[in-house]
Amino acid sequence: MDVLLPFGPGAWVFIGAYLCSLLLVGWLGFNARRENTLEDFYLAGRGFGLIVLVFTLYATQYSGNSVFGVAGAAYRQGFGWLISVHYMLAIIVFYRAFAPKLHEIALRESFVTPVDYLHYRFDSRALSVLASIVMIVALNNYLLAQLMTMGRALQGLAGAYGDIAYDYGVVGLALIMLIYGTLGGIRAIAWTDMIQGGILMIGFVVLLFMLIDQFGPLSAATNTILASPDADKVVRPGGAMLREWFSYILIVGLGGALYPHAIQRIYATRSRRVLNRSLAIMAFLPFGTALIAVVAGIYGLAYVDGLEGAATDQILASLLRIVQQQSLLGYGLVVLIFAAVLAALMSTADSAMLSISSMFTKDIYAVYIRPSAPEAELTRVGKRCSWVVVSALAVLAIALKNQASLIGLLDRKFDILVQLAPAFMLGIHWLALDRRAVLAGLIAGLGVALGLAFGPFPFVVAGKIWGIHPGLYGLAINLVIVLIGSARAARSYRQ
Amino acid sequence: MAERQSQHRKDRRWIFAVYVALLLLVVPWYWPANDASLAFGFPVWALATLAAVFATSVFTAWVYLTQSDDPDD
Repeated sequence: MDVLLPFGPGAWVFIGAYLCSLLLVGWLGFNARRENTLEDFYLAGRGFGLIVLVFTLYATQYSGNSVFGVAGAAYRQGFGWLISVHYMLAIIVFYRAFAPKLHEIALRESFVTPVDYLHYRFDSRALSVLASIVMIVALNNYLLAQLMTMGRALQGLAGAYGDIAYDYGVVGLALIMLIYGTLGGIRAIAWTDMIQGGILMIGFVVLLFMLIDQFGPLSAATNTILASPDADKVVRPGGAMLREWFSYILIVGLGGALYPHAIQRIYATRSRRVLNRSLAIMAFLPFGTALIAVVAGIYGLAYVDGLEGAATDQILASLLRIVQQQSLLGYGLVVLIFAAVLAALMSTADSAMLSISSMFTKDIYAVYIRPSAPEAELTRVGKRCSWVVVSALAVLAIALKNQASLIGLLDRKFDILVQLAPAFMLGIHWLALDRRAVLAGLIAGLGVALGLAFGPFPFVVAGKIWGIHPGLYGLAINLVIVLIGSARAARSYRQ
Repeated sequence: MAERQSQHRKDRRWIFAVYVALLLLVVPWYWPANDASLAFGFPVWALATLAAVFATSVFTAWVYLTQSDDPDD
């Protein structure tokens, strides 16, 4: 690897020690298990306290997209990508619509997966199956984006050897994640999240100071952009971008709150008080992460020329490469930030991996394939599922190396995930919500969202219609069907 | 019970209204289109939106810490 990357032996020892610590935590998590059950493997016995929950939510929510995708989008769109600060906060706001109450029910009813709630609330096999498929597809999309970012993390630093470094990044990091994730389950993942979240928080702060030290104050960077052909990326965004701003707040806020792995962290929380206090802290974290990633993109826009298309997601790595070549201190800081980037990627990817395996095992295998399977078998199947899914996605990530921008992947995942919002956010409060109406709304919403996203329509520009994500058009139809259908069902019940 | 829940929902409508107002402030549609004035390296319109986002963070934390969603609390 030394041949590929401009890192010396000391840097590789540091990164190697960090990666080995993850394996060690996986082993500790394996030894700390209390029983060989799904609840222990996927929810750690529902014992998450405040510190663990904050770090695991933070490390999971701030992913490769938060670092590379946001910096890349700011490089392409300028200050307009401050959208990202608000959409990360919107996730916490939308949790308020259902998380505290869901936690209470989950504790009482011993839920393991998000579909357990849907089954409890609506008792509809068709709805449960469709929701499982939606969540597994969305998470696979998410996991694929993380694996691709793992590759890009190395690709951007490796210069002429980028293509080979990308392959090493995808395969090597996926392998380490698989080992500790399948050894210790959610317990190991939450513990590694504490290491990863800590490195990530420090890494973002270091990144900010490093950029200022290397390139001068932000005002100089902004003035440089104003004097360039990219000056329009400093002034207030125009009409289409403003609509996009609203759209991102809604689609990422709703979709991010419905991430299956985040819902499972709600289930794993010790008490509602801990959950509320954790989410109150989370409301401030976009300022220490997304905002700094946007600032990094702005520095890139000012001082790095020539990146286009998917390559713009490498802007942060390109900046790090410049800093690294300037001084020994810069070199050391880049190594720390590189570790933080790996932390962001792996902490998100491992959670998605575990959530996919839990849903396949609990919602599909244990219901339709082997209903009488003992818990130990289900846990074993879950682990095998993780290996199969991650291996397949690693191959796909290598095949798609130069295909899609990370923000593009982000959009499609949320388009389908938001269609579950009525079932979770309305269903938990409104007892009259009818299961047939929810199912019909979900089918119609998915049809509209996917039809608009992938259909050959000339009015779909950059994946959006009039600046609005297809998923929100689908959600509007979905909501109309759910509300009218439920009202009619309630009326016929009264008659 | 149903009546108490309905009343509780009505009591919480103002929280929704505050969020809508904050959302309207966060998206800088109200700022002059070609203004390129800067402060602390940020365009001033960007600082305005960041201030609104910070207000949303403070309000959200306050809601989580003090406003129960359970009518029995």
